[in-house]
Amino acid sequence: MGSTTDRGDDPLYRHVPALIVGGVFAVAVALGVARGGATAVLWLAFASLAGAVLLFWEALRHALDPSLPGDEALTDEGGASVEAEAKKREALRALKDIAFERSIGRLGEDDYKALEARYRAEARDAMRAVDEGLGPWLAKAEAQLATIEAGEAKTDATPEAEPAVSVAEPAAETPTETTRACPKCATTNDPDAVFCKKCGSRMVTEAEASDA
Amino acid sequence: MNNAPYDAGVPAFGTGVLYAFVVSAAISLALAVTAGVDRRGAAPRLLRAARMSALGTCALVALDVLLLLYAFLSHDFRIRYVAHYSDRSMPTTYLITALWGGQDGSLLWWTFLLSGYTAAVVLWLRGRLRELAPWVIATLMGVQLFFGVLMTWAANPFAASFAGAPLEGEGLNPSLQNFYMAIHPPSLYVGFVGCAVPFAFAVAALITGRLGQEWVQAVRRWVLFAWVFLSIGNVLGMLWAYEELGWGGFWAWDPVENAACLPWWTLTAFLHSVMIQERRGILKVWNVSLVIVSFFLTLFGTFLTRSGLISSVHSFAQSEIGIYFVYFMALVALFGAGLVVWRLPLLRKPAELDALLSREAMFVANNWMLLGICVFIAVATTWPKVSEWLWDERLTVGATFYNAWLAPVGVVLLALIGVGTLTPWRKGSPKLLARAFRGPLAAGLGAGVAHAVFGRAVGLPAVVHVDPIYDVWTRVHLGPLTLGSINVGRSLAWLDGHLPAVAVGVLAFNVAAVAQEFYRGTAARAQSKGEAAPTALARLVSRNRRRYGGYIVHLGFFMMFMGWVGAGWRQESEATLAPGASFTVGRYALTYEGTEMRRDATKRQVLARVHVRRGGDDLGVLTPARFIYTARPEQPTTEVAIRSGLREDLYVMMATVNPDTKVAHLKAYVNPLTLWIWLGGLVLIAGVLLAMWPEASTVAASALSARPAAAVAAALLALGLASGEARAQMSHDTTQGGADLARPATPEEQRLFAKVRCMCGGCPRESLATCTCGWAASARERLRDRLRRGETMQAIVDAYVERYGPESLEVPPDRGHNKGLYVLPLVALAAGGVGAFALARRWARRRSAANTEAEAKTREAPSADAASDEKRYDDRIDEELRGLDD
Repeated sequence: MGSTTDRGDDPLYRHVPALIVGGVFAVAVALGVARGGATAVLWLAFASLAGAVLLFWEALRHALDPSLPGDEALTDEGGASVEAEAKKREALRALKDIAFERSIGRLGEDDYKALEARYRAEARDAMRAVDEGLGPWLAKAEAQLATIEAGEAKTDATPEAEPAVSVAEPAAETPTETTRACPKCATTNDPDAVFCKKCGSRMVTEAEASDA
Repeated sequence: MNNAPYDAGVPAFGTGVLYAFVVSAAISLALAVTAGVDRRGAAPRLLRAARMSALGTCALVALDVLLLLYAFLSHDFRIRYVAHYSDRSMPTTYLITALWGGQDGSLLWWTFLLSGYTAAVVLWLRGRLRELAPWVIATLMGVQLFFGVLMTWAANPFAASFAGAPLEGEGLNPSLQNFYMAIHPPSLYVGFVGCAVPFAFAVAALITGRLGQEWVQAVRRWVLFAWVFLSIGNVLGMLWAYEELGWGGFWAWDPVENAACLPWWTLTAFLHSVMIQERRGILKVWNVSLVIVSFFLTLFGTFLTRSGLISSVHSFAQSEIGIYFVYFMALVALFGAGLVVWRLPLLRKPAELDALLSREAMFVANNWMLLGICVFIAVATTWPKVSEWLWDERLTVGATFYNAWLAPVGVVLLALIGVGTLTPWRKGSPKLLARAFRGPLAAGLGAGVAHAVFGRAVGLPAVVHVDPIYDVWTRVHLGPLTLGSINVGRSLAWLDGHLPAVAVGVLAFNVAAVAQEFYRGTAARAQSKGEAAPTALARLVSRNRRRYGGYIVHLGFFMMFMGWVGAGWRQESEATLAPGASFTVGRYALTYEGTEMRRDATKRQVLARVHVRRGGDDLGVLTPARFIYTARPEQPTTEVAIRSGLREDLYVMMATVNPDTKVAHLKAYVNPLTLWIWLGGLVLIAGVLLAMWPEASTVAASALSARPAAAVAAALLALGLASGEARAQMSHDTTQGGADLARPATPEEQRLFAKVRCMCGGCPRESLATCTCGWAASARERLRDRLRRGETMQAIVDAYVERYGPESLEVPPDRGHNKGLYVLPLVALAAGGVGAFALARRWARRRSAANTEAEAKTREAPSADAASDEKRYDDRIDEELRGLDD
């Protein structure tokens, strides 16, 4: 179990837990048929014990060894952009609601016009705020998206257009065009990494965070 | 028999694992908290450690459950719990259900389910909600820790037998050896325990101060999941009561039933009000509080079942652990309230509504109603205890009270559903609203009038006689002024008597409203996209799954409501018959043909053959029965026979039979529309499935996919419905001979019996009218004699109360402090209503002020640059709107 975390992205590795669990159950079923239910239950009990021990060992290693990587997750630091994102969603939902109500004839045309103008304005303001929050990454992501789309257009694929909302994915797909060094341990990280994959310390500096 | 050397240490090992579980839960809690507060960059690493150790903790619980299961399978009677709840003759299925059949085991089972949820949440949290995750894990681990401590200190399922290992176990109580015991508690538990997950997210949101959309969106699916199992658990509870208890009804307002439905009301309220938060970003405090209260109520429910505080049919589970629950409930209440108060400044946002005439406002009204019902039930359930503490007076609040008061409130709630369905989001204009209401209102009125005219002819009259629960005139004073007198009991009885017609009208209105909703949506889509009607309908529903799934859930609820209304038309009849004799109930003629005896390994079965005819039709033979288990011959079980139909059920039960003369005492009920309750349950599940569908599809490799779970839920309920061969319990009967020669009760007698309770000491909360025990039969005979001698009903009741104390009354008397029983909830309901209305109006006003401001702003002509910028954003808005789920 020791080095597994480093291979977390390997698709083969991702199926290992499922395979182990499946194997344990298969053995349990076989034992149940051959030796009776009680034996199968005992085997499952043993498997959970083994699982618990392994999990605790892994927990202990991560709790004590600062050089191990932790759980990386897309995250944001709260504050302005989260608020704006929420506002945007609320306004979009409102627009969807009123369009639906108008389509089934429960919202008058005048009311619809007034409400639509209002919520569109709210949505624009919120999106503007989000964009400003994303700042420098947005332009980069849009450029990358454009190259990807151009490539896909050649191979006659229709791009799933969801522009510029998720920043990390396109960046992760294009291999190492820019990298960033961790300020603590100098490990090379993805350009958009928030935490260092080696030492786990924060990659985004205070200046960038307040920029955003 | 299994004395192989390797199982020598199961009791000790199981206890050891229990201790290990407590320690590891504490460690996981500490790790998660450290990850949550860490500001030095170690958080991701610590979070991973916390996740791993939380999963390890769950594995330990699984280990303990498997060990206990192994002990059952290998008949390890050294363990007290195993010796107490199993014997060597029990089939494997019941050995498994014995895991949760008793007190200590059911706590372990509870913890096991909680671990299942915890593991699913922990796996699901991988890579998402970085800020909330540590606190979610910490909260879940805190709850686990409580159960761990509880088991190690007070209810260790691995505790040794007092006097060494007995050679044979005592065996599971026959009343627990039936199909429903196998599925009803687990599904209710899944719903109950599931409330811990939203609670954990709410706590995490409060602690981190991230109270926006994030946690609400994360938690919606989990809430729906818990909600659907809570619904199924309650429906199965009704099914169990109907098929097993033998008194002809399905809901007795037993304290434990009440406790099981309390969180259902608050969760339902949450599912509605959360939609407002998603749209308007308001009601944050309210939603957080609803989730915390729901979790609190699940603990309260467990506490009620376990403490034996209030007598109930579930009293098999009594024990001393109640006090631990009191501490934990106090802790949860203080902690939750403290967090909310602490975060109040963050949660407050000047709330706005586009209009008072909008669905948002209707949702506020519906929350008010749902909470009102919840408060009503909670007050009535706890009243006997409150009365004992404050006034040293033992009381009972029987089903009659709940039915009388809650029926009208339920109809109001039903009407609100329909009105809400027809009111548009955001803003309704009076003209368009009138157009929307026209059809459904006509349908409702038409149905109501048709029912009033034809109802009696088809045996479902629009106005029924309801006996007043009180008959006391109360003078109403305002200071020195006397305003007049009011007879609460009679007014209520009048209202209840007229409810059937109203309820039918409102039901028709609601169904028409939903149908119109589907029709208009389909028509609009067919027109704008030029699709054929079926395609348009399918696309409409699949594009707006949450909306239409919700409507289908409502339809299921309407069907169930039909069944509840149908209970008002119940007819019953009883007779003591020699073989060959007949009696009638409703449209049916029943002929008792004699008894049959069957025997199997564990029991004797005494079956009565009852031939059923309706008009000229021969409907075949029903066989109500009594089973006498060899292990417990003093507790014969009652097995009812039911002939189900869409229109009505014929329900026959054999109370007693004389083995020599074959004279049997039979009771029969005609229960109109009961089948609709179970069908409605299935429709409800289908609706939830539809509403959850899109969400599940967006969760890649979700550890706990909602779809299969909901399918399992539906299968569970369907299984419950399909097993017509329900085998049952009724444990308090001691009369087996033909001593009880009861005649059918006259209506007057029936009314008298309904007013008082069976006081034999063994039957919890049964009214004298429905109780099947021998004591009740002789008590009925005594009361009959007095009636015959010309005593008034009031005098007889007074004498009965004189003898057995005030707790022998079905409904506490309408005087003195006992008025509080209904005045308190009514005042709360009224105050809540006024408050909700005032709030909604203030929000709408604030919005219209903001509107005029905004209009002034838009009137300024934008520059060309700004206009192109606007165009760009508008395009993006259109883009995202297309991708937005409902």
